[in-house]
Amino acid sequence: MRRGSVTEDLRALLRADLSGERPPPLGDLVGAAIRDGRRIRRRRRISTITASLLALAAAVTAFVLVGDGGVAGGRQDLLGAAGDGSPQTVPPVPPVPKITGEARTLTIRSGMADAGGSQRKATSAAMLHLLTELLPPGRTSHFGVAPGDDLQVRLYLDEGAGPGLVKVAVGKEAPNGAEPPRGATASVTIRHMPDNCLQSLAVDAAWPDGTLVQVDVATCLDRAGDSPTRSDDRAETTPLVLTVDEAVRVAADPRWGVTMDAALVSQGAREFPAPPVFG
Amino acid sequence: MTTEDDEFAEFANAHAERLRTTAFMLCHDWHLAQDLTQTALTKLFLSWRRAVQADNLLAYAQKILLRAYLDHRRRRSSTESTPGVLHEPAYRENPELRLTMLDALERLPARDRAIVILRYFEDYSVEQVADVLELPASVVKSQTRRSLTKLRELLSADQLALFA
Repeated sequence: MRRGSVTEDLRALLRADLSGERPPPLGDLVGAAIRDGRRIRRRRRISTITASLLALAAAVTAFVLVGDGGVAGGRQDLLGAAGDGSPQTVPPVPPVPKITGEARTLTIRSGMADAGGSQRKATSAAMLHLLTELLPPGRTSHFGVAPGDDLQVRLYLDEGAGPGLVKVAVGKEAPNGAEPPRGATASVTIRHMPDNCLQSLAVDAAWPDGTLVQVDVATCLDRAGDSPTRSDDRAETTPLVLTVDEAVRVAADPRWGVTMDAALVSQGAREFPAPPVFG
Repeated sequence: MTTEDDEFAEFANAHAERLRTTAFMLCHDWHLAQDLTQTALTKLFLSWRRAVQADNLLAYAQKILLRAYLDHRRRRSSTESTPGVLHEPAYRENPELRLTMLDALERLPARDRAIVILRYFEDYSVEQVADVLELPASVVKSQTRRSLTKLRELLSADQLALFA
């Protein structure tokens, strides 16, 4: 068999068949893949945070149980062994669970959203409205929202030292079994990512019902919200426009969610009737 | 969007069409090809940090696409009839009907079809196909021979002449 020729003949036949095809438009295939990927990534982040919290809770529980029982039990054992209550019988202090310096998690009691108001499906416009309420004083601009139903918004904040990018995303991963109530306490994880200027400061607030609020504070401008851009457009570095405390305050606000107060949704629609779409 | 997401978007926009064409060659269905490509790109997006370390990023993406296709075939295999067994091809009854190469490929088992597409359309070496499909090179060689024999049986005389 003529190996090279077979290759060429087969390829020619395949190309001939293909040339007779009328493929449908590619559409937003890439955008859809990115949106799906982000959704999965968010779910994974929620799962990771939930697992970390469970591990932390287990460690704390173990500390409490072993701390009491262990101290008492240890003392009894040691006393029994030493018999005379000498200084050597002082039990060792159980290790305190440590959180690594890479990320730290705080438990913040933020209270609950106004229970009196009716809830509606959250909108990007409502998110922009709430974000502008929560930010410290400054000039806001370059508002943008993610396409489709993705609850992600972004804006620039300028407190006088130049504009900086702030992004907020909200998602929810319902835990297995019966969904617990929203609760009044958020677990807030703070991470600094020096190698990613678009997420120099990332603060995630996880609520017991599976709601996750992600706040990213950048130290470079992402002009992709205005138009497709090259990565070198981001070379311009900017100040971190939110302190850790300010970012935590934004992330842990109880009004964020996949449903939001109806009044906020209405106000958002009035204030941002057609926000530009990024991504 | 992060820089990584931008890099992914740039790669995906540049190669989505080609990946979809490969998918179409495999499944002969544009809608399924679209779905498979989106699935593959989503998986690529999620493993982007690892993917960019690959020697050949497009080959890496095609590997994910092939896996998506083979998974899809496996999932459907219990509900599908075997091509050419329950539905006797019309071209056998009517010699005027010419089976295209894509039709003929469709009659090969999914894995063999993938081997032929990679070998003769994507121009992969035996070793590359073996790597992508995680098969021994000897299996790739033997299955290629079998597939070519089968294609010869299926194609019309004038097409056969092309690789006689």
